[in-house]
Amino acid sequence: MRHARSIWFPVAGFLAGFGLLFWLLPGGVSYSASDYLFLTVLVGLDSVVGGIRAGIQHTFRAELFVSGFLLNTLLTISLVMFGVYTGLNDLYLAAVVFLGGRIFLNFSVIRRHWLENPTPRAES
Amino acid sequence: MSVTIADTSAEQGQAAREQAGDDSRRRSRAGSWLIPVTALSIVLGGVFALALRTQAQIRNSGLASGPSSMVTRFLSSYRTDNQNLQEEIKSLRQKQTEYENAMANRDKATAALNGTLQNVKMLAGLSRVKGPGVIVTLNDSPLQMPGVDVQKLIVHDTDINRILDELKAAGAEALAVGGADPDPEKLQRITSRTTVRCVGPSAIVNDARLAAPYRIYAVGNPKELQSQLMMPGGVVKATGMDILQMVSIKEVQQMELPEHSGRVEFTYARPAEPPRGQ
Repeated sequence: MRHARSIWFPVAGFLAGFGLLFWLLPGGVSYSASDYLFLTVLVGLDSVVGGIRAGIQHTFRAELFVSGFLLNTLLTISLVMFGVYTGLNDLYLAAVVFLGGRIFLNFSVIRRHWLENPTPRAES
Repeated sequence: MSVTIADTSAEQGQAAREQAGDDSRRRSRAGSWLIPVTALSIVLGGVFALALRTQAQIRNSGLASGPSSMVTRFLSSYRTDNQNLQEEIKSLRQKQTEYENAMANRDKATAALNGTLQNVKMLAGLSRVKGPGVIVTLNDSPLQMPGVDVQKLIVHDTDINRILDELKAAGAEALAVGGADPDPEKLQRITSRTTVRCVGPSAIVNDARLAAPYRIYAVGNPKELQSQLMMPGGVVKATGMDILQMVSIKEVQQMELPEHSGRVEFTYARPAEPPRGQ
C-alpha cells in the first residue's frame, strides 16, 4: 500500500515551499494583503487535505481539485471583502469556521486510513 | 456529518469494489493525485511564508496588526504630507513678503501701504519676527509629593493659556509655543485664532500636537515679561509652579520666531463698511 507513505509528499512539499520562500525572499507583501494571504493558505490547506483524502479513497479528480481550490479562494476573498465593505467584518469567520471544520473532518478520515494500514513497508 | 469507522470502511470497501470492477482508466487515475496535491502544497508553503514574513514586518515596524495598522500607516503618511505642506506655506509666505517689499520700492504710496501691511502681518503672526524676549519652559513636576493631587504636578492647557495671557498683559508683541522638539522652526505662532487645548497627554496648538516640556517664546522687554510672570499673586506664584519646579524663565537678547504655518481662511467673517454719517 504505497498511498500511506505518499501522504508525506504534500507535507514535505509544504515545508519545502515554506523554507524556500522564507529564506530566499527578502520582502513581504503589502500590509493589507497579508490577511488575505492567510485565508488563501486556509483554503489551500482545505484543498490539500481534501485531495489527500480523495487520493487514498481512490476518488481523486484533478478538475475537482483545481476548481475547488480556485473557486473557494475566490469565494472566500470576495466574502471577506464584502464583509469589509459592508462593515460586517466578522464575515470572514464563516469561511474560517467552515474550512477549518472540513480540514479536521478530512484529517480524521486520513488518520483512520493511516492507522488501518499501519506498516506500509510490510504491505508493499 | 459524522464519520465513524464503519462509515469510512464502508466507503473504502465501495471504492475498492468500484476500482476492482471498473476499467483501467480509473485505476491509472488513482495515483495521479500526488502531483497536483504536492504542487499546491509547495505553493501554499510559499504563500504561508510570505504571509508570515509580512506579519513579522508589521510587528517590527511597531504598527498594530489588524485593521488599525492601515489607519496608522495612513495617519503617518498624512502627518508627513501635512508637515511638508506647512513648510511650503512658510516658504510661500516668505516669498510673498519679499515681493511686497520689492513692490514698495516703486513709490511712496506703495511704501506706506507696505509698511502698514507688514505691521498687520506681524500682528497676525503671518511673518517672521525677531527681537529680545523670554523663553518660559513648562515641565511636569520632578518632585515626588505624596498627598498632593497628581493633576497639580502636570502641565495643563490652562497653565499654558494663563502664562500666554500674562505675557500678553506684560506687553509681549509676538508669541510662540513649542513642544519637546527643540527645532525653532517647529514653533507654533500664537495668532488671534490659536487655541491651546489638552488632548490626552499632549497639547494641540494650531493643529500641531506638542508634548511636554512646553516652551513659550515671547518677544518683548525681557525684564518686564519676567517680573510680571513672577509677581506675587501672579500666575506662577498662584499656581505654585515655581515651588513645584515646573517653570523656568530664561531671558534672551535675540530670538527669532517663525510665521504661522497653518491656513488663514474666513468662512463667516467679511470686511464690513464703516458706519455711514461719521
